[in-house]
Amino acid sequence: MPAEERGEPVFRVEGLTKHFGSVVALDDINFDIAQGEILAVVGESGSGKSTLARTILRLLDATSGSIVYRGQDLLKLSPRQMRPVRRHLQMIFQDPYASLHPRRTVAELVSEPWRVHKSVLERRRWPEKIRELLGQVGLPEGYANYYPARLSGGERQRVAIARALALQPDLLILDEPVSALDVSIQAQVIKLLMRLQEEIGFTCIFISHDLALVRLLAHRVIVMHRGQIVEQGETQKIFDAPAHDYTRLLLDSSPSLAGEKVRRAG
Amino acid sequence: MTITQTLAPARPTLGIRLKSTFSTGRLGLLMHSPLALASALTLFVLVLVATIGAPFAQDVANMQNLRLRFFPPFSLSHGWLYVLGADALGRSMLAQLVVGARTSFIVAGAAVGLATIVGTAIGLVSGFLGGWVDAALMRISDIIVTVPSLLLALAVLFVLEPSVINLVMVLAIGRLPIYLRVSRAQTLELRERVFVEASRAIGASDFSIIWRDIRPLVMPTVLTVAMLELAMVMLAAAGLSFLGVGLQRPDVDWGTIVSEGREYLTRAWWATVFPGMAIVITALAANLLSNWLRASGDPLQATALVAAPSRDEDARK
Amino acid sequence: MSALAMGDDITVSSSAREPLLAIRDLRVEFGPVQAVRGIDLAVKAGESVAILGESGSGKSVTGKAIMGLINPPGVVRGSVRFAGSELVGRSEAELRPVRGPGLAMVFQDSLDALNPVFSVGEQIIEILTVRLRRQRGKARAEAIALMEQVGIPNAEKRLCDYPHQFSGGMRQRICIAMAIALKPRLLIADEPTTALDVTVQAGILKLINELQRETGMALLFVTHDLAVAREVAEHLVVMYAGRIVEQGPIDELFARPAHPYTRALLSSNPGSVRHWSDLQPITGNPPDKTTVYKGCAFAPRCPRAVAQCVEVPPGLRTIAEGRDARCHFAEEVLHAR
Repeated sequence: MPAEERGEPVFRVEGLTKHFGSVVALDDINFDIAQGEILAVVGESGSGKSTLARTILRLLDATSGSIVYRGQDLLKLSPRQMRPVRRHLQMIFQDPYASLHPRRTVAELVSEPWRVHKSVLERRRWPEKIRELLGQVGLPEGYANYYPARLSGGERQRVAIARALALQPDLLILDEPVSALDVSIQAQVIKLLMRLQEEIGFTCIFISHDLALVRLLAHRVIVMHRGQIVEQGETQKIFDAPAHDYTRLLLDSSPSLAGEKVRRAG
Repeated sequence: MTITQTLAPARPTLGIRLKSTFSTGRLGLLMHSPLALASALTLFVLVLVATIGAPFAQDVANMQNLRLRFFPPFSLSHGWLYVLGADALGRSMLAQLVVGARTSFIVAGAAVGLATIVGTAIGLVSGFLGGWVDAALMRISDIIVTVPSLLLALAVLFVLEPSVINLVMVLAIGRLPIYLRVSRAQTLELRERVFVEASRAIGASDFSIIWRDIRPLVMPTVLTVAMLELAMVMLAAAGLSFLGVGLQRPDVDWGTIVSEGREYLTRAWWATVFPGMAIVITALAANLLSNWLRASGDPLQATALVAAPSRDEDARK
Repeated sequence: MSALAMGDDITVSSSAREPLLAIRDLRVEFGPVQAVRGIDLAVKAGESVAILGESGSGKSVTGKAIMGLINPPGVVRGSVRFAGSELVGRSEAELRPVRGPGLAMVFQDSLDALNPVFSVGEQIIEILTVRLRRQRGKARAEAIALMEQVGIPNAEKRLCDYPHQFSGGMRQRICIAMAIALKPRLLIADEPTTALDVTVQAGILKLINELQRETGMALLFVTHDLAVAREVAEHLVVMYAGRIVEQGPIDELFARPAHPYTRALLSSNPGSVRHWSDLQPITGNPPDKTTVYKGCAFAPRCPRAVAQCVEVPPGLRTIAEGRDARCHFAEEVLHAR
């Protein structure tokens, strides 16, 4: 693919491999992401897409390979050196019922990143910024003192988004951000995320099994199967002319609103 | 609560509202729960009696009057002092109970407190870090469990002077494994939760994750265990006193009174039953209160306990 | 009861006039929680019906209520008539002959639905020996045939394997084999593919469709996924806040929805647009099961709600041939572009 058109990559993953005992979860993963790009990673459970996200963020230790973020190999950093870098790399998790601490209010949750990275924002400016963030994700200020238990799934995911944005990240990893939400809520959250991406311009890795969604959002797609990348390229190309058998199988399997596929073919 | 304070100057309504939900909310909740309220009051009165009453009753408690040997309770013929009767040496039960309250609270409270803090701290670190640290700490805990705590106490207190401090230490060490195991088990489960991963993704340090993410969820369980342990420790202290390595007169606690009175149980039930009841009431009250604290401290359960203000109302702000 | 006893010989034509399953004013309550708030539903023999709804819509509870699986403190009111006999208010003992040859159910979580300490073979054979009084040897052969029928490779070898030794998709196939072992006249599938991957899901949906066509059983498929419903059903029932808001032939419903909720679900589905900015999300949150609605339950989230909607509850009315909708403005929605 024409790399020069996409500009200097923000992120380059080379030969990334991860073993869990004898199981190979990630096998020689290579890709890069340009500034402001939305890269989708699709695959089924066990394909290694979630492991990939966690290895990139060093929530899991890679077995070998390199993850170069703006010229710096993250895998060579000590845990202590890694901590300040985390500011620029944020993640939104699949299940907002699990990713928010149950004993913390919305205001505490959103301000948590500033507590960790003290230099980002002085304490007296927190309230103002909390309000701004809640506004950005479309939550009323009155919710600042709520515990997650009182919020619906969609509202919780908005809190998680606000928390991720609190550090103005360079790269945001979205791990199935809407698949735990109700169907009527998913579009809300997707639109919010995409609007924010347009406004703020963060680079984005979007992990999903929902091909219909990926087609709408991603500039480029990586298809993963059993820990390997079987195909990667521009979204349009992959959807129009999948080169790999597995990609074709995925596309054929995903149910569509047009329907009929199973009934007629079966 | 720091958030509230920082939010308060910029936007008073936020801070005030949170403060009000906390003070009237938590206290208001207590008012709505008669059992918890009664428990809280009972404990409050007992502590008050122990702190204010004990200095006055100190001398009277050890005053022997053989003419009043086994004086039965509920009679005012010898004044208020003997309303709960007298023991085998004619000492006022009431005065002894008051003085015993102070010692019991100090010994049991300190022992349980020490065991809770140390045991939970070790359990949290052990469970969170895992690996060889965990393995080593758990083996030490196993050793403590296998050595009978009474034997350990006897050995230690025989070598060292039997004093309140040594007694507290010995009791605390003996009960340590319980807290260690409870907190470790919970930590093992909690550290796999997604919100811990989320904290790590933000860049939080291990210490911060243990302290801010895991501890708040482990403490309620540990506190419930601690409250149950209060009575156990009071009786364990009495056992040591009985063997002559615990508290010695003139120091007296409820457990000691129970074990002394036991010899005369058939002749003078009050010498055992009253201090025994004091222990049971304290333990029960502590238990009920800790259960309530646990429920009301949990946002999920607390919303069920009290009618929360409408979400729509908050949404409009 | 006589109609139920003859579960084995299903003739599609015999029950064409009268629906196989007829639900009237079904209500399910759990204390203050009103999970199902009065639904009427008919499933004809051999028909495939999908119940579509999001969490809290009462779709799963409906399925369980039909099977008689609502435990106290849950209260079931109304009428569920299956092949001419009433099921609501029957005891477990009275329902037993109906379950299996009459009604069978497949659940979302296949690992939960199977007993972990018995091999799958034993579990299938037990059904056959206990319910059909088959001899063990014959039952074993039949179990293998069933497993082959639901597409489990090496069925004979895998008979002795335990549930955890199978993948999620294979386990769900075993659950289906157990459900169809007694040749039910109606299969209720409660989100059977939600926990599965898309490639596995496609296989299961295909299997269910094939089985339905081969055996002529009716299908009640509970799902939250529009596209999945489209794949398996002819008739769609859309539920919202414990009520049916719209029902009709699925193709027509997709082409011209008559209820704002159905319309909104379709236009907020990623499969229906070309760019994310064209998505039209439904505002607000899913309904709360404890809320009592004076008017239309969807009114707070409805783009075309007027004062009347908040005040007057709309009834489920027929708006076209075979189409029912619960909206004051159903005709307008139907013809809107």
